[in-house]
Order: sequence, then C-alpha cells, then structure tokens
Amino acid sequence: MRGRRRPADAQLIEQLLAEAARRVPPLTEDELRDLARASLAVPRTPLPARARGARSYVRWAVALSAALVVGGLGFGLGAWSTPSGSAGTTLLGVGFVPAKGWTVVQSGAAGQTSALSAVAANVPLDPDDDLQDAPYATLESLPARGVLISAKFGVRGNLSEDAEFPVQDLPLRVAAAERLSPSLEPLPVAQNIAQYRLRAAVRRYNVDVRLYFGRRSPTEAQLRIAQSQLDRLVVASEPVTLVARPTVHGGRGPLVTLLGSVASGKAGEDVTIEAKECGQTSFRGITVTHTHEGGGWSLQYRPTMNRTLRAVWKDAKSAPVSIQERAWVQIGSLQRPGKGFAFEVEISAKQQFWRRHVVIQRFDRRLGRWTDIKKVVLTDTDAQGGASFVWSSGEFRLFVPRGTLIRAVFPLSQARPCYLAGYSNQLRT
Amino acid sequence: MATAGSPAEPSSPQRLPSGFEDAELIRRAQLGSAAAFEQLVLSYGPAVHRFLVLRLRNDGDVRDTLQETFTAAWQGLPSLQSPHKFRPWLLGIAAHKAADVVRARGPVGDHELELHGREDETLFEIREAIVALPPLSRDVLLLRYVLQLSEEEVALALGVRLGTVKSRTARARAALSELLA
Repeated sequence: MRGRRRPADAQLIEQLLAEAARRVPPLTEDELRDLARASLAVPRTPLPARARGARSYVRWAVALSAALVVGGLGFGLGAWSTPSGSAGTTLLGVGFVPAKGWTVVQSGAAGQTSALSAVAANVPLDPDDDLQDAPYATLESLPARGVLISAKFGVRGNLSEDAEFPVQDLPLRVAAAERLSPSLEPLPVAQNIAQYRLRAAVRRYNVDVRLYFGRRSPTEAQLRIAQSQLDRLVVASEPVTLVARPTVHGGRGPLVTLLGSVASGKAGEDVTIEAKECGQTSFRGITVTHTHEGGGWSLQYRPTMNRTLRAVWKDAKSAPVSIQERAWVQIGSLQRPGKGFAFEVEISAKQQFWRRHVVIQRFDRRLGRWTDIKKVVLTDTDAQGGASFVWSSGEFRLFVPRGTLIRAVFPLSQARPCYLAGYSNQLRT
Repeated sequence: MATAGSPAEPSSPQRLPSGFEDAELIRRAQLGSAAAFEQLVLSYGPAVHRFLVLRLRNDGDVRDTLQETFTAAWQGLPSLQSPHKFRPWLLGIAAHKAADVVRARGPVGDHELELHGREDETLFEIREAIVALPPLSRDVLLLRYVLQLSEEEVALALGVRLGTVKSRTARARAALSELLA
C-alpha cells in the first residue's frame, strides 16, 4: 500500500479504517456460540447482597408444588419436604394454599436451608425468577391489576433475628403491613410498584412477607384479594425444629450453627441433639442444649464427616438434617533436588485414604478455569497417638512454567461415601 | 422487548422469542439467562473481534482476548447499571484486556508479527500502521472509526474525558496519515 495511497485528510483515514474493518475475516456463528458457551462455563461470582438484590439470577430453585393434602389440617398445602435419605417422611407445613385464579410456588427443604420461600401471584410467574431473592422478572411485567405476595420462613432460634418478628397468630392482616418507601427500598424494576412488608413470628417460624401491587397505590379491590390470599398462608410446624447453617462444612472452616425452637415457647427446656454418623445405623445423643426465652435454642457444632442430625425435645423429634463434610486437602512444596518442582499433598480425615488418588490442577488464565494435569496416588498414611484424624499423603513432581497456579482436588469418587470432594489451598510454582 | 401478544417463535435453539431488543436481552443476561447472553455474543462478538484484530498483532492473542472479554462481560453484567451503555462498556473491557495483553508481552513480545490475513496486503499494512500508534490513540481511532462509536461512547468505554477523545482522535489521525504515507 505504501506508495500507492496517501491519505491526505481525515475522511480518507476513516475510509481506510472502514475498509480494514471490512477486510477482517468474520467469525462464524459456531465460533461465536462456542465463545459464549465457554464464557458461560465460568460461574459468576456472587455479588455482595446489596447489589445482588437488584439482579439476582438464580432460577426458581425447587419448584412447583401446590395443593398436596395435609390430612391433619384438612386442606391442600404447598410442599412435602424430603430431606435427603428420608423420602416422604416429613411434612413441611409452610406456604400458601392458592386462592382461585392465583399461582403458588414454594421452594426449600425442611431443615436443609435456614429459609423456605413461597410466592403467590394473581398473574403467571416468570421462569427467570428467583425464589430465594424476589421475583423481579415477574414484577417487571406486573400489570396494574397484579398482586404478588412473597413469603420467607426462617426457623426461630437466633435471638437477634427473632427480636424483629413480633409473635402473631394467623391469619396475618394486610392492614398491618408497612409500606416501604421506593427511595429507601428501591426495586430494580421500571414499573410503578407499591411494596409492603409484614413481619411476624408464627409458631416456630419467622415469617417475612412482602406484598407487591402493580400500581403506585393499591386499590381497595387489590387489598381485598391480597387479604384473601394472605388468609391462605399456612404455618404448620413440628413440635421441635432444627436447621443447620451451613449444611456443607469445609474441613477447617467456620463451625456449623444449629438452631431451632420448641413448641412450648419456654426457656430452660432440654433439647438433645442426636447424630447418625456416616456408616452407622442409629442415632446417638451428642449434646444437650437449653432453650432461651421464646423457646429458641442454638449452638455451634463441628462435624468431622458426613452425618445426619436431629433434635429431640420430650418425645418429639425434629426432621433430620444432613450435614456434609468436605475432605481437608493441603498441598505444599518440597525441597528436592532434580528437575521440575516437587510437592506433597495431604488429606486429613477420620478415615484413611491409602491408595486413593487426588487430581492436581493448574489454573488456565486463558479459559478462566482449572484444568487437570496429573493424578497422584496417596501412598502414605499416618496418625498421631490419641488423635482421631488420619493423614493420607503422596509426593509428586510437576514440569510447569514458573508462576503457574496449582491446587489439588480430592474428587467425590475417591472421598465418598463419608466425605464430599475437597479442594486444597492454591500454590504458585 | 417482546411484542405483547406476539407468538414466541424460536429464533434459535435457545428459544428466545424473535423481536427481542438488546435492552431486554441484556436484562435477561443480567438475570442469568444463558440464551440471552449467547444472543448478545452473536450480536456484539463480530464488532469486538474486528476491534481486537486491528488492535493486537498476534492472532492467538486475539482469540484469547476475545474469550477473556466475554468471560469478564458475563461475570460483570449484573453490575452494569445502564443497559444502553452495554456496547461501550463491552468494548471498554476489550480495550483494557487488549492493553493487558500488550503489557504482559512487553516490548519484545509485542513485535511478534503473526498477522492473520497476510494474504490481504491492505489489511496487513493498515494493521501494521495501527499497532505502531500509541495505545490510547490506537483505541480511540478504532472505536471511533472502525466500530462507529460516538465520541461520548468512546470516552465512556476508555474511561477518559471527552476532550481527551477529541484531541487523541486528531492526533491519531495525523499519526496514521504519516505512517501510511
């Protein structure tokens, strides 16, 4: 081109650049789709709660159960909960019974999560919505006549949380709801939505209800139909409740909080925590705790392998809760003469993992993900006298560029049945 | 936005209704819709690709940077406040990722000329001239004239003032004119 073309002014430069752009060989549609899918393979890092409130993206978590028969109560109710390994034994009595023309969904499982959710609306719900947050996609298109009620049910037992929920009986009243200011509690939707909040402690649950109306000021008719659906809110609880936060525990991570409450609502009641460890067939008492004012109780707990817990109060037993433990994996470098880098990987657990393997991964910056580079068999085991933990370890060499970020993964196939997969610390070679 | 009452005919295997505007796609992608994000990549990918081909010397870098750009876009979408700023926002990510690549390669690596399309002499020479420009001038020129962004959008994409965009554009045009003369 030199010597052939002399762009004298801006217009010529622009034309030249436009020509260059036209000459760039285009990507095919398949290449673009591959590009998108590879990007989607990298999980999104959760935003801080405040930002996430605007754009939560988890789909409807568990879904759609409406109107199962609850014999003792005599009407249909949203969900039967089945904690893993105990199908169909536990009734989770919280949720909405749908009024005529309403759609109801519920999510969560008894004991497995600290909060259960239910949504009722007189319009169809958007499948992009998130039950654990708020149904923003539905709210975005909520017509003026629309009413949506969302309720979260948290097990009582945490003193500071419980203080924000005044004890009430059902039915809850729309008239008692507090209007939320759009400037203080903004909704990430373009619509003019009126938002109300109602908090109440009902039986063993803290119930946090949000009412949304598709106009700035709800009409009398809307308030009436909202009340008719709120009348169908059901909170039927076991005599003693138990939840665990979190239900997956990482080796040296923070302790698990166990909490719940008893039906008497009195302080000083004895609650026994029983556990069934992986491989055992029966529950054994592990500790006794006492209720505080209001009948709630809580304690900190360190599980050491997969196990199922339950709370026992008088003759009543709570729904069992499964807690899973991640194998604790550590990787460290060794000073060994020879080529490449030398490392040791160790697993600490209540059982030995001799002859099982760990996978060594390196972080691929280009793909933004971890890729497998080596399998290492654990060839040594050791335990200190009197300790309940056993070390399983193996040594290996890597031939990777200096500065490569590596980690060890103890896969589920090797860790089960008593542990979940474990992930080590990250190490730069 | 999908037209109310219009049948939701699938425009792709991902079953997104036809007639979806970008703002709606962006909103859905922010909420986590993979199908919407894929549509955005189909719409905006070619522009980002053109920008990177002309911005970087090495074709491997182009592919890697393109991937990193969309991975970062997917990660960062929930924090994008104004969907109408999506295009400059996305190209801003691409410009910064490209700058990272050039910085990482250093003065030696940046001279590895592995231009795709050597057979196209015009493209080859324009690319050679563009990569010889100072980085900011290079970005300004490409965003302004190759991708047809307004000066305000270029300023937004690169995080610089409007005046800087104007002065850099003029300077880059003059420099490119010299290089191609």
